[in-house]
Amino acid sequence: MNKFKRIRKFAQRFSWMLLVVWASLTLTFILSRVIPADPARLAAGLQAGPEQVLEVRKALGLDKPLIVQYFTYLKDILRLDLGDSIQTRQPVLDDILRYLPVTLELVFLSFFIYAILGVLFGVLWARFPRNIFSKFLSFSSILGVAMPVFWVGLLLQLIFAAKLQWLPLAGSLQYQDFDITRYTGMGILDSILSWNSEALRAAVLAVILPVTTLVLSQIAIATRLTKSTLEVELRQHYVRTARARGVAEWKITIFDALRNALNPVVTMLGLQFGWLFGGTILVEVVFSWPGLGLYSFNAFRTFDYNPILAITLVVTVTFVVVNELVALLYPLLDPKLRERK
Amino acid sequence: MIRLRAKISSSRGQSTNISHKVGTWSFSAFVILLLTVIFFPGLFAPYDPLELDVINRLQAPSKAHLFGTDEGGRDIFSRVLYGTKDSVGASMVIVLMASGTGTILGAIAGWFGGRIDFYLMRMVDVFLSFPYLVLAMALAASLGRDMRSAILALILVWWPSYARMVRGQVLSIKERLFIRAARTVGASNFQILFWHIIPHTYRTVGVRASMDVGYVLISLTGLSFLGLGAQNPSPEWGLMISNARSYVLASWWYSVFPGIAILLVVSLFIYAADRFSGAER
Repeated sequence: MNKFKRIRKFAQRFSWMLLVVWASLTLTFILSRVIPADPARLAAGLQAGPEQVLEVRKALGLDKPLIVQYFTYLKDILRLDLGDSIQTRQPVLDDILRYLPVTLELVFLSFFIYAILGVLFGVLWARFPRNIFSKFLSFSSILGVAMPVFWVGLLLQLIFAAKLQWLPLAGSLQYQDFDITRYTGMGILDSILSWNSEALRAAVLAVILPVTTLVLSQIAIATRLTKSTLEVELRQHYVRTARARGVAEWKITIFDALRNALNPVVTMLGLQFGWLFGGTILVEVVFSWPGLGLYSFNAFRTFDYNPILAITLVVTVTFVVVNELVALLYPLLDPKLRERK
Repeated sequence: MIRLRAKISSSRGQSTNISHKVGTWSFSAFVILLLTVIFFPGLFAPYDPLELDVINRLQAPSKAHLFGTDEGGRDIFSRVLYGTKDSVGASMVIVLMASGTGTILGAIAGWFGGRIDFYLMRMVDVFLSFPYLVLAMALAASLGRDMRSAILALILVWWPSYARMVRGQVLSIKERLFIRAARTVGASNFQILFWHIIPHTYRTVGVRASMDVGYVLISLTGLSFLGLGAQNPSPEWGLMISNARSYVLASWWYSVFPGIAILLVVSLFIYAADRFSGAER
């Protein structure tokens, strides 16, 4: 009985995921082929003559009726055929697979750093609200939310690259300078795998500024949420009981209160992980970081047709999948949800 | 003992009340100042924001040019002031439209329930499942790269969260006695919805909207920074920062001042929302 229910619940979630993915596919189709007055004209570029526009129209199948276009579009995506990019003259799928790890390096590093620091700061703030450090947090957390991420990146460049000249201004690890192989596309990992300390140093230096930018722009949200949920938990009766039993204060905070406060924090971190994926576009543009964000920026700027579709798709699917995975995490964190069903 | 405690708490209540009032007043003053700058930037700006003066290009801040000049010799201080309309004004319009649409659709969903509710909320869920920046970028790219499409994109991205919030509120307001009373007197659905229910949501929607002006401003400047919003030579703040990227090594003032403007406006709006929601509790 219970098992059956669980399977049904899973099936429900899964079909919901499929629905959202389908909706995103349809939306991108509408955005790229229905709304623009003449998509072929956009795809061919402003300088293109009438013959070129005609050629592009034929090549992209834009001369067929919309409904036919829609189904060929769905069919191509199911076959993982995302077309070619006009800019790089390569299949979009190859491009994405090439640029994705470069972005993931930024996303993973900054996600772990700010998840850990954010929760830590939140705990300290809730535990010692009158501390000077907490006052500083409450002030800087508003600033942190209010600063546009691209501006933070520029400021860091201004200070640490232009004035102090401690760190490189922009760009990621240059593979040809150090003669190392591209195993994964993630600079730090590749230089460790090739056992090259010089390259590792360069890779770490290159990653510091963009990761700091992402962390600074995200950490305030995690800190504020951890603080406010933990604050509520610390006022609960079970905390008082634990105190009365003489349990050490830090043990109560970490093992009892924090564990109960973690649920909304995890949801938000999951949402932010999805956001990071979109938000890296701005950071990658500022730091000329050759990942998916910069690739999509160039695609959006030049209206490079197929990459735009593919990127919207990839980002949306990742976003949806991550959110669903987070939803699957809840019962692990909160036994009450396991019982209910 | 008990009396003493009561006294302390009452005096504390008063003092927060006073500081709350001061906060509200200074926030209103700030919004009025912003609106004045949006509608009459010429009152404050010493120079024309578009006039080129190439001899004085990239001058450091001085008495003549408070914030320095940009690559065309234009006064950055004047440009920041004139840019308020395209940045903050547009954000206010976006929030107004998004909260209006969201409130009406959310109230309709909550009031009528049933099938309307189901379909509207599924639509909201789908919209909320997208990462907003990507949706906004796709929209801005397909509608053409200008301010109008960026504004439209952000309205589309922002209304669903209002719809969900208002729907939740309407579900609880719906059960209250005065609604049943209005029903008994013979008020129509339309009357109840617009005269009795929606006004009750103004407060929470207002707090949320004040905060969102800040967040929308950040997204809008981000879109302009990527070249998907305002176009040159508009003095929009995100676009100015985007132009300043090429001069980051030599001219710090060019990128710093428009950013400070964004920071100031956003943090004041978020701070105000914090205060208002705190006062409600």
